[in-house]
Amino acid sequence: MAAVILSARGLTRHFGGLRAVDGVDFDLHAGEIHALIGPNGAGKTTFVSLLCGRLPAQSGTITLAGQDITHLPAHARVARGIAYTFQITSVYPRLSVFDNVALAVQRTGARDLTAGVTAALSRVNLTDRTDQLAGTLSYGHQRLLEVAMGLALRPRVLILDEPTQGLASGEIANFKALVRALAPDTTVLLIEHNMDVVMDLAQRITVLTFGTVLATGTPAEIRANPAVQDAYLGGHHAAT
Amino acid sequence: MVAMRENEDRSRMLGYNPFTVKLAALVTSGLYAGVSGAAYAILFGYAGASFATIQYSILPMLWVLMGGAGTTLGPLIGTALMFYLVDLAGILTTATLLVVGVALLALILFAPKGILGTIRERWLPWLP
Repeated sequence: MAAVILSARGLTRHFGGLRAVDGVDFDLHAGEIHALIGPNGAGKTTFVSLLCGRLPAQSGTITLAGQDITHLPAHARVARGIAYTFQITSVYPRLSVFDNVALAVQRTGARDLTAGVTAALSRVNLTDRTDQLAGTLSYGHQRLLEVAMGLALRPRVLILDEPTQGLASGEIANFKALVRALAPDTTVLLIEHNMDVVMDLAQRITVLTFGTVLATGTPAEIRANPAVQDAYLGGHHAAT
Repeated sequence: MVAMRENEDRSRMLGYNPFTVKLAALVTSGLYAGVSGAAYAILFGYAGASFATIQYSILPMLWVLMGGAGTTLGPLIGTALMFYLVDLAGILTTATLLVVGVALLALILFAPKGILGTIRERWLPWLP
């Protein structure tokens, strides 16, 4: 198995009495597509927010390629190769599609801004909308634009938070092909509710529930895990 | 700076440091104000606490909002318009602040993005 690129140990974040993330141990291997699933409120978005620095961890450690990044601010983690696409689309609505992606390309120090933007937009099939204001794009296209911004950063780890939400079925097929093409150069951590996408793309899956890791394994192992089935279906599936 | 104004959270997640960018904006605007104050003092031989009054602090900001915040020519247009509007109103009444108040109400009701901001949004998206 490839080396661990991103690792968390005992990662914890509580909101008052709510244990959103509670002592999570997690390993992301270089080059893999790893899905993070779990019921609503399981702590998935909080967990990746801790990884990318949007939220500070209350305890625990995070390492990227062996270096401790626990106390680094979010922008410094991005500079080290972690890119994040938001669960609720977050683009610059009053800037053009080109400018949105150019802001990401600029951070990589690329000299040819136009080439970098065109390359990122062509990967998500948005090259025909370069001059359009981002705020006037459909929700699905805004999500693809956000993915393009993530790709333009040329990250080592790309964290996608529910990227297929709002996409049409044809767009989901294109998206799956896109994510497959990213590996193994880019490691992908994918939060997703669409199980078809998860089972199709992920090489490994981690299941979170109530802020803790319920199971980690291959899609086949997770599908066969009675505890996972209980968490998703409710009741005591193993007993029936 | 535009990116930070439009979406700070997104900018942070593209690797831009909000503190550095905001500090640069503060220092740059402070530099302009400092140079203006120094130029005034050299020209008129006076710089005093009266420069912190509404006339020199709040009103210029209102003129910028009138012309259109975030536009290049907006502050110039807003200042020119309000300067002459207040000047002309002075011929008719001593209550010139009333004109300022009415202009601001009209701005908030009909053009919250300022004159050039509204023109850019509705008709001329290429305006700087």
